[in-house]
Amino acid sequence: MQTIKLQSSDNEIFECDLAVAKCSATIRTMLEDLGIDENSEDEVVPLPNVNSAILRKVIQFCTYHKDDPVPSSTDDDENKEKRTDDITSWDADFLKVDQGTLFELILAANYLDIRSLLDVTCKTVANMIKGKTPDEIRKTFNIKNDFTPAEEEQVRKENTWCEEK
Amino acid sequence: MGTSQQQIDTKDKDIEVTQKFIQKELENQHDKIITLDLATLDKIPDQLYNILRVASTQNYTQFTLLNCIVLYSAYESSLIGDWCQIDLSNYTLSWCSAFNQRILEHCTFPKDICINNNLLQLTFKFTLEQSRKIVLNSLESGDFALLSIYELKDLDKTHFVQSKSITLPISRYVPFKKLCDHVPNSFRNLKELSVLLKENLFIPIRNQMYDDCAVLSCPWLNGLPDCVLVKILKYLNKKDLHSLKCTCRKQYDLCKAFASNKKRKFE
Repeated sequence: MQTIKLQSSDNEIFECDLAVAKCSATIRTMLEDLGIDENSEDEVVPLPNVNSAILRKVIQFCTYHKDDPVPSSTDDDENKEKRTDDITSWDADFLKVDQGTLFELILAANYLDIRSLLDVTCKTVANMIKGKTPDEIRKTFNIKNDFTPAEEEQVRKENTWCEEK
Repeated sequence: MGTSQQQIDTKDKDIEVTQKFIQKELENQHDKIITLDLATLDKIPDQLYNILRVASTQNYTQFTLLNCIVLYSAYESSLIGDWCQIDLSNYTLSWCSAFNQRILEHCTFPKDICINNNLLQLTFKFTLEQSRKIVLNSLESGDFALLSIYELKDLDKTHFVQSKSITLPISRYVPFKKLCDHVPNSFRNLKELSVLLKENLFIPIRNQMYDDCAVLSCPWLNGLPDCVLVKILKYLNKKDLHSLKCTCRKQYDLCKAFASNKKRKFE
């Protein structure tokens, strides 16, 4: 089994299965376009935007999903609200993490271009927003309300108008 | 019917146990006791109720109560957020071990709680970065929750300390009361205290932290790049989008742009 070494931002080196690393389109491109030799034992792929704690999680996710069929690249109907209730139980357990880690995973999935991880993490965040009032959303995500009272009233009215419509 | 009768029985038993405990505590500690009236507790928010009830089964002093209130208010104002969890199964507070590493490097709040038994003082330290510290004290003897924001400046190898402090006279709001003596008043005051702490203490610190510590903005929802946020918006229905839009300016602009873009594509 061919392996590859990945280096996190805090200089920890992870040796993982090449097929697992190739779940990341960014790593695939690095290997293919930048001429990093897959067979060289000393070659290390630096990932300066991902810390070791997150990289460990990402490798765990990709190892579990490495044999999954590649999702079609064409986006589904853009105007249709997408489903969020189809998260598998393994993924749901995997994402039982604190919010900071969840957002770090999203950033890592985006940087490493791992679509399946990005999709499931975004769905998880969407589920945390669904059905909540603005105040509950603020509380959940520590969002600071930076509207003036007048602006807030205006925005709230816009919403009432939309809801009535 | 059977279940509700059972619940009432359990509750009566609870009341009896609590009252016995309070009596015992009163004998031991005389005026260092705040009594809990379960009927009053029923009316205050569930979490506070549960925390206080557990507090009532432990060494229960004004000090404990203050800490409960402080923690509860912190929890309520989201200052604690991910860092701390209140486990409602056994009503304990625990610090999240998986707390984001990036924040941990800058903020040692969960690691830095220290109890100084001699001084009967509980100190919550928030270290935002090397030069900035926030210290929150709740004192048993003193009557304050004290917040200080220190700025340490290295001037010719000597440390220069600047601090801003807010002091709240908590004792005014949590008077020592003997059993059944003006209990409803105490709890009205507790509610006031909770609101007061939230508005005057925790919200300002939280805002200060958000403003000063740019690192906090990154791993949070609003710190995500717009291209990623849009992916999240795609999973939301109209109503959820509207709610999100109402939270802050950034989300307002983004949701509005997203909606109009969607509309344009549709047309």
